[in-house]
Amino acid sequence: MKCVYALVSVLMLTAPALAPEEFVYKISGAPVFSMTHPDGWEVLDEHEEDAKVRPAGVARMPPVVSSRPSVGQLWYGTWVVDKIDDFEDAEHYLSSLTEHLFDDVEVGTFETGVHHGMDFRYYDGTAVYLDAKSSASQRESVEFFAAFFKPSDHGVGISLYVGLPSVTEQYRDELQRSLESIRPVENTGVDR
Amino acid sequence: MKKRTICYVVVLALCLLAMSCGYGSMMQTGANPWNVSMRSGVQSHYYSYSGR
Repeated sequence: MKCVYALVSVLMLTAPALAPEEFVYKISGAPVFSMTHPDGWEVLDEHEEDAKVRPAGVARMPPVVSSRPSVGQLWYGTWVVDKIDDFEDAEHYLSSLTEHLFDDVEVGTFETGVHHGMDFRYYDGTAVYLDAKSSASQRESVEFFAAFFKPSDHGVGISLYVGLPSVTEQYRDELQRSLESIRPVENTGVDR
Repeated sequence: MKKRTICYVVVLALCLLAMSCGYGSMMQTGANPWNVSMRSGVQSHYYSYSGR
């Protein structure tokens, strides 16, 4: 019987860590959209940035929120680009971003969709990624996808995934569910 | 307190310690080395992007 109590205790303590996390994305404390990251992934609400990245006197960009599994070479990040306001601008932004991050970019399929009343645009493709921060400096052939959405009147949201092809296959369904969970949050001005 | 009860408590404490230290450090260091470079790349692009 005591073994049962011990087992129940362990399960109760570990369950919250494994449950899907409903994450509310905020800009300056105001909620903009919510999303669920894949089960068990660690969510990194990134407000920090390299001191060298931001020019002096320029306003800080909206936070980049990423999540990651315990195993698998990938990056999955979501943020709002407040410099653009429509999907046509978003396409130009994606082209510029992928050229900045990768080599040998090839954009593959393009799709549209609607989730929770928001229009989405999806792009996927392949590229070569060189991790500039890695001491190994190894070039990796990667797959990527980008989903654009408009959670408010100002700015466009983007979810960007980059991963090794084998990792993409492993997490495809979870990533799809995460994208489909993105929904706008009515801005009440209350910090939630 | 019986020895068996103490044993259960110790095992449970060790499990929690392993979860908080070992699992946590694995998530931080070994799981995803791309995180820093991708975030930095996204941010540096944002500040240099001037639109269409």
